[in-house]
Amino acid sequence: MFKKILVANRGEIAIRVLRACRELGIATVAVYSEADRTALHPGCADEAVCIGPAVAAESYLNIARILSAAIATGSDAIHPGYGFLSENPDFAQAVQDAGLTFIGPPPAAMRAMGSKTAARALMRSAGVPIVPGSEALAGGAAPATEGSGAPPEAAAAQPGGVACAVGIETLDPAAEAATERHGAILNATAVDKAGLPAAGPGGRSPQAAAERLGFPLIIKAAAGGGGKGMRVVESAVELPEALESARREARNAFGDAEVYFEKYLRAPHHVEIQVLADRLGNTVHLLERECSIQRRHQKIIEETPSPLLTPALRARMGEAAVAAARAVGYVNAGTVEFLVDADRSFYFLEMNTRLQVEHPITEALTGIDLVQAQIRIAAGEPLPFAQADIAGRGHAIECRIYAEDPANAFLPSTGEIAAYAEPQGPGIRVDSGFGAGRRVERFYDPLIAKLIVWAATRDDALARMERALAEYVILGVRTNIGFLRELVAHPAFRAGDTPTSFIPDHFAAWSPSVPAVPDEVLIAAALAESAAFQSGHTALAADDDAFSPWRQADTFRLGTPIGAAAPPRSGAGFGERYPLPE
Amino acid sequence: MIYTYTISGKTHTVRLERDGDSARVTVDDGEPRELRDVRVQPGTVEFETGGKRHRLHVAPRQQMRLVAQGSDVYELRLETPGSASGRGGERAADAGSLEAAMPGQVIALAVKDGDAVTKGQTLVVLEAMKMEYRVQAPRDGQVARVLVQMGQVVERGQQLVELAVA
Repeated sequence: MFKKILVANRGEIAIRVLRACRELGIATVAVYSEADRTALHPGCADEAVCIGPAVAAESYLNIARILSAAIATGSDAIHPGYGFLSENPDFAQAVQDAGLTFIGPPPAAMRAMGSKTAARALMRSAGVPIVPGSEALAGGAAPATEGSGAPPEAAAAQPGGVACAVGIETLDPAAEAATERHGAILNATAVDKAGLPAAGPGGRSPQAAAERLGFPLIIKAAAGGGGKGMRVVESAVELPEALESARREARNAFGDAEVYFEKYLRAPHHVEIQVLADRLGNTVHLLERECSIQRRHQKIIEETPSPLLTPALRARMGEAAVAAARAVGYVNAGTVEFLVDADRSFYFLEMNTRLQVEHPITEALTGIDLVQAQIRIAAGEPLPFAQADIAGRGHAIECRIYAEDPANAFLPSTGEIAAYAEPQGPGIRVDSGFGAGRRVERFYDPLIAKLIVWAATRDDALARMERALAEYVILGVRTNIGFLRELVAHPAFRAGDTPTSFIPDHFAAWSPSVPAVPDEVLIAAALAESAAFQSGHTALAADDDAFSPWRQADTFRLGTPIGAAAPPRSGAGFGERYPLPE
Repeated sequence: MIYTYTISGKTHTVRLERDGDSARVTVDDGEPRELRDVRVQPGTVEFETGGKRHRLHVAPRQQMRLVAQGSDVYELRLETPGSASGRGGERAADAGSLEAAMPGQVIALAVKDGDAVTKGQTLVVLEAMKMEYRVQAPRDGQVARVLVQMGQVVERGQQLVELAVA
């Protein structure tokens, strides 16, 4: 087992990993940028090393600095957390080359799953379903350039075969709001058009392609997107007219009438499967997570079990996920993402070769500590359980608490947290990177905390999440808690009707409501004010007053004597010294 | 004391008379109410009224008072504490706090906590864009607390000095 692990990350996930190390009796090293000097995570480790300025590229993404911190502290393994370098095969390789253990999959597995087209080709050969589509169809002109704006990854479709999947449309293309939903779905699939071949006279006839693909299908323009040249076709009868109309529109919009087909997924759900594989060849899945509540491609609510899955579907998806992991020789924790159609067909989307943000709901459901499992696997231990031992119990939901201002287009809200109190009680877990007196800076993603609830049933979990959200006090930065409360209370969410279009469908025109201010709020403010006058010195000192006896002192600082005065506010603060990465 | 707050374009008044850990309070045009077991700690305020115990979090941000009741957050703007005679809405003279009229930097502090001052006496000097601005005492009195330090950059409306209540 490792003697010392360096956690190459920050915030709540660094704290999560540090906790697991502590429980396993392993010494810990945290790294932090200069902007995180007074953050919560450095103080949660036995040692902490400053690895550079606020900008991620010079600190949390700086392989050389992280490696030298690991070597200098005598660490024998590195855990990358999520984001940052966690899916960077060069980093994983560099860690190994330095004689340390990388707590994650082998670089080759990362590379295999990093290319979406290569991943899909691999999945097809492994028997894992992918979103089917056609190649270019006869009757159109040769395709122009890629118009969808997706990264142009080249991949030739097999001649005569069915080309790899592309984007997925789920909604009436004529609807104005389709663009937002279109975008959400497309990005969820990490669109890349797998290089459509020139149609030529030998191209497949539309009727044949449609029959092979099945209905409903969607016609798409090869040369561009944005809803132009798109038609949903429910049956063979509608096909000729839809095709003509789509081609006409495509020609007008892009100067190219080339179209192709894709299977039309109705209101898909984003459902992912957690996998774990040890170094001895044992691979298991730890059931699913439903992640369809997304705002602009960012997940905000996840739950397990998924209201959509039947036991049979769960078993088939689990097997597919295990097959996917085996196909790339996967080791350690990973997640296979799928889209699940309304008719419960499932299709491979991509594989994330790291621990995910929402892993706590799987831990709540299965009782398995995923980070401890990661460490043990990396240390060479076999999995202590087989597939038959893994069972889900109850229901778990996670809400991501972001420092975002819902009244200002959810732009990040920065500042000092003046008051902070987490909800408590049975079945409540909060993984947080912040507390009272901590600052939310602009350099990193605005995740404050993850609020996870577990209960015996989904209805119980919903009620528990509502209570927990209502009791969560965060004062000083604006958060999305009000938005989350409305999402969780929405009838469609309660009914489990949560395709990836949920937020655009129900909250497209949403803005926060401004309730009437209750008397007790005014009374509390007045009482606090009166205490300030009566005591002669303010019980409510301005939050930037370094002389205030009420100012919370950070007790863990490196290189600064405890009790040193805070820097003068604004102007000369961090914001000017470290220009924002833009 | 009368406290005036605005939020969402509406103005509210709170008339408050404290007596140890009890108080009598009237909000806007409502009925006067008794508060019991009042506790004010840094950041939290508790009180009982009408058989219900309330616990809220309060934090200042210059002229704003952020109040949380669970995850419901209210951003009140303090217009003024007023004298018990009900002249709410007045500034400076009775209010006892002096604000920066413009953003700037504190380049001189002429007083410290507890100093006696006379009307017109310069208390703080701010500098911005090559201009100096002298903050003067609006009346005779005593400095309760100096709220800024030398070199500090302040915003418009930020409180600089508190005078003891006359």
